[in-house]
Amino acid sequence: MSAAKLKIGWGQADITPEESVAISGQFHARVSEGVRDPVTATALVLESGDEHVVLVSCDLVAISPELWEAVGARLDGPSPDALVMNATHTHTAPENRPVGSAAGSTAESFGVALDVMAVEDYVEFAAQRIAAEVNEAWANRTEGSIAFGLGQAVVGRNRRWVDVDGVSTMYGNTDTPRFSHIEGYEDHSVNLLATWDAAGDLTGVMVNVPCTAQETEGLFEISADFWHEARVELRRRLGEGLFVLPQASAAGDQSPHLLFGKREHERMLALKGRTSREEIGHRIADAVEEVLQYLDGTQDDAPLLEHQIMELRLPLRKLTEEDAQTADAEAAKLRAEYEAELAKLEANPELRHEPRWHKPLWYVPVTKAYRRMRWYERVRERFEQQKHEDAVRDVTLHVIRLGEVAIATDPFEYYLDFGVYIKARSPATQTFLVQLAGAGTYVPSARSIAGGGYGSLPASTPIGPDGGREVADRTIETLLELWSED
Amino acid sequence: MRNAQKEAAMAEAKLKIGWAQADITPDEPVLLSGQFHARVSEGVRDRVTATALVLEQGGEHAIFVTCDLSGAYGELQEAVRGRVEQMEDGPEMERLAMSATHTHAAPLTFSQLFRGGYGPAYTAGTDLPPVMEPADYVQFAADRIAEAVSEAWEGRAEGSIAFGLGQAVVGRNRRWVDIHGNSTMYGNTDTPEFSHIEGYEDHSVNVLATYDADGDLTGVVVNVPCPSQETEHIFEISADFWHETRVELRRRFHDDLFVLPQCSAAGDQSPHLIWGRREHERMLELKGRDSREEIGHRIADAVEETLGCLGGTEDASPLLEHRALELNLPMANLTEEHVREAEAAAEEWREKYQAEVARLEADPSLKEQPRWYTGVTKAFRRMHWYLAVRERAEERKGKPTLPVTLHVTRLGDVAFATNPFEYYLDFGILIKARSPAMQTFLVQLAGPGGYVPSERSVAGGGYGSIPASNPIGPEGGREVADTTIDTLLEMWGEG
Repeated sequence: MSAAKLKIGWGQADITPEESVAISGQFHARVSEGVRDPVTATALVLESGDEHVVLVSCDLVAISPELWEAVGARLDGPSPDALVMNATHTHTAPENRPVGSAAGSTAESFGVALDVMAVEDYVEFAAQRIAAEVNEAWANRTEGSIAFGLGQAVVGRNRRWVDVDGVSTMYGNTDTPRFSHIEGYEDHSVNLLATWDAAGDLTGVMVNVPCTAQETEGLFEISADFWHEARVELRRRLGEGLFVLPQASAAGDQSPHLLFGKREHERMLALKGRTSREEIGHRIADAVEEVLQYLDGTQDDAPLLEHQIMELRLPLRKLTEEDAQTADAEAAKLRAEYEAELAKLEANPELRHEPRWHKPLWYVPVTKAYRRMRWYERVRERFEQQKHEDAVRDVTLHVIRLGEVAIATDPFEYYLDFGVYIKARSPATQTFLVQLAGAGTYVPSARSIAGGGYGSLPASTPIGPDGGREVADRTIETLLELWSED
Repeated sequence: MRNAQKEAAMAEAKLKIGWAQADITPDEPVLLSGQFHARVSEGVRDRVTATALVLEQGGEHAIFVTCDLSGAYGELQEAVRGRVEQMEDGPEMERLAMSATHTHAAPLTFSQLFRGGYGPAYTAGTDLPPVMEPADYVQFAADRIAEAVSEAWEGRAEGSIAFGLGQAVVGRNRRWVDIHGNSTMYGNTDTPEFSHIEGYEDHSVNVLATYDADGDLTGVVVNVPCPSQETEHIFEISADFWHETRVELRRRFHDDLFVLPQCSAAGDQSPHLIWGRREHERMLELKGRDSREEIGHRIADAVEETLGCLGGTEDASPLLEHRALELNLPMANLTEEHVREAEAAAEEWREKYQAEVARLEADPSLKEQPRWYTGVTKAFRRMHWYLAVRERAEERKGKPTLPVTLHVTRLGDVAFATNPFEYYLDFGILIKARSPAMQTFLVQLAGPGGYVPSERSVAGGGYGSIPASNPIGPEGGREVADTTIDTLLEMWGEG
């Protein structure tokens, strides 16, 4: 199918805050104590004829509606409707979901006052920088070409295991007679889309890996996690000016952490003289480098570009009175814990000045108890909500066709089973699924519900497997429509 | 001597290493093993081999032999052991762990299957093209394998080992579950009925390298959780992807490199993709490689990268300990319903078989067509495959267990643990997760084969996880895993 010449623009913004922020990604609060490496947002603008899209990948835990709107409102040129934002899910970036945000689940205050940049202020700061880069990428878009290919890298690992009684657990010790099997699957594909300028020079790569960026997720420093090392390694190999747009494919039950085989893995890291993040960076760069060498001659400077926005109203996971009661009991225990921690801090104000080496930091136990309490309390709130009104959640999906490549987003931490289902049924030659193109929340696979555990409990999952399947089916239908003329 | 002293003395003893490779390609046509239908070999695509590695240290020794065969059946094992036993000052035959890569394009070594399974050629008076009988091939192969063991044993010399772990995407889960919970091996996942891939995948590549006294690399043990069945339908003799892997490894290192392939637990794995084929095939085309060459490159990449990191870790006196475990495993429970279902399926195949025979009798000229015999032999074997369920149910009443041998070997910080099955990956992960060794090389198909299904797969059924596939069920599989783990813990002093 012939199409207009493709115009391509790239930009990268530094979205590292200049003051202390609340780092997002754990139940307990973390006040940033420095910058390990900068967090960034990378923008890729694609225009063909009347159609255009703006893909922005951010080194953030998720994308709040507030951040999305704030960037969209500042665009000068591209349409806000063309804006597609995703997060790498680094667990060491500033919180961007304000308290009371539609993003809801994790952005509430911490139960104690902390001296950090307000989330609203960080959203403004980041939005300004991101929009400026997008506008520049748009202004500088020029004719160029794309090519795509598929590599492999062992990066995302399934993090849920099932015991001999059928009970699932996220992480923990599999070296026990109670261990039965790893609950789900792993997907070690690396989907790659590369861009070249009119002179035939490589300008950037979109790299899609079914893994979230959370190898060093416990840090109290700002960091892009393994995508930092992946970018460093890719630029060392392919050029310092290379743009790298990372995407996490469906990977709600995946992470870079190993559930078994840690001993041999760590020995190999020691032999290689690499950290685990550097190792992941190398694996991704190996895959990208290998694929790129076979793409010569496949570049396309006029691929068809189509973008569809789908608004879905998904059913909320149906909660039972028993679910609510179980959550009530947990919340009550955590409330007692939270109140005890508060009382301890009030009785001993000097605890707030304990030095850094005194772990855990004074605010960690109290904020953890508070946040976990709220997490359970919301189960009751959802249960009450489903009695009175339609228990639904509105979500937006973006489905893009770029030549033979599909790009399909969802706002979730979307279990891998759904991702493999979409990939197996997609008519595209390659399908780049992009999770966390939104505020994030686990959407568990049907089989994971039976085992329970973090990620598949009612408290983790406002949307259940039915909603997850509906997203997959609608995505597949839209892809089939987009490819129907072939 | 107290145990600790003995161990310390043994730990100081130098390791001796011997390698040899035998060509076990027959000179005449054979029946190829690996499919229900008969295949008479029509040529040799690449040679099938057996590779022997002998290790001796501190009065202990162990022998690993891997064959480019579908299984290491009892007849061949016995024939090789018999020859080893006859060797003057040779190794002890009980220390021989023989396994197969599970290529589906190597000679059949199971004479019972030859006579009973492919029956029509011999019982219905049909004239299947003449082939070397499996019993004769067993003698032919056993001679050469025993010679390789002898050569490796005689040639053993001081050397060192090093080990490491790489990654390669080779073994792929081949079972998928539909939205009703039914499992299928292979087939079309591009359907609204598709729910998920049933189990897991393991993309680890365990590598053990050997060096001679000059520090030169002599060989590699390469352990991948994937059977060698990428071109499993061909009518030629072939080692499948291990051929390309050996070619690629020798091209990168040197032509005399010994390569001992091992297949880790992979009963539900194969090199075939059940999703993502379109993009995979496009990449093969762009690379100008066939799928076997691609696998060869992936494994060679992992081995090369790993070897590059092992400098300085060579060990010339790793502790060697070998144990052969004899287990009586409970046979899978068969209900009367299982038997009835199998008999109903057998009847369907009997009708197909009889129709095939009638068709051939009505028109003998059909036999002039190439490979005319596939339909009739497939029907005959499927029929017997289902009929065997009744036989097993009867057998189980009198003798409810099946004897199997496991070999568990400690070599320094490395464990080798064999089983005779097509052992589902869940069991392999269980053993690896619980092993006290730094790296654990599991070796499946160190025996005749037979699927041992995971607990979760039995719920979904399908080929590989139905009574006709499974003399041993998940309980037996778990017992093998637990016994292996207990033995490893004892060997590492943690039992």
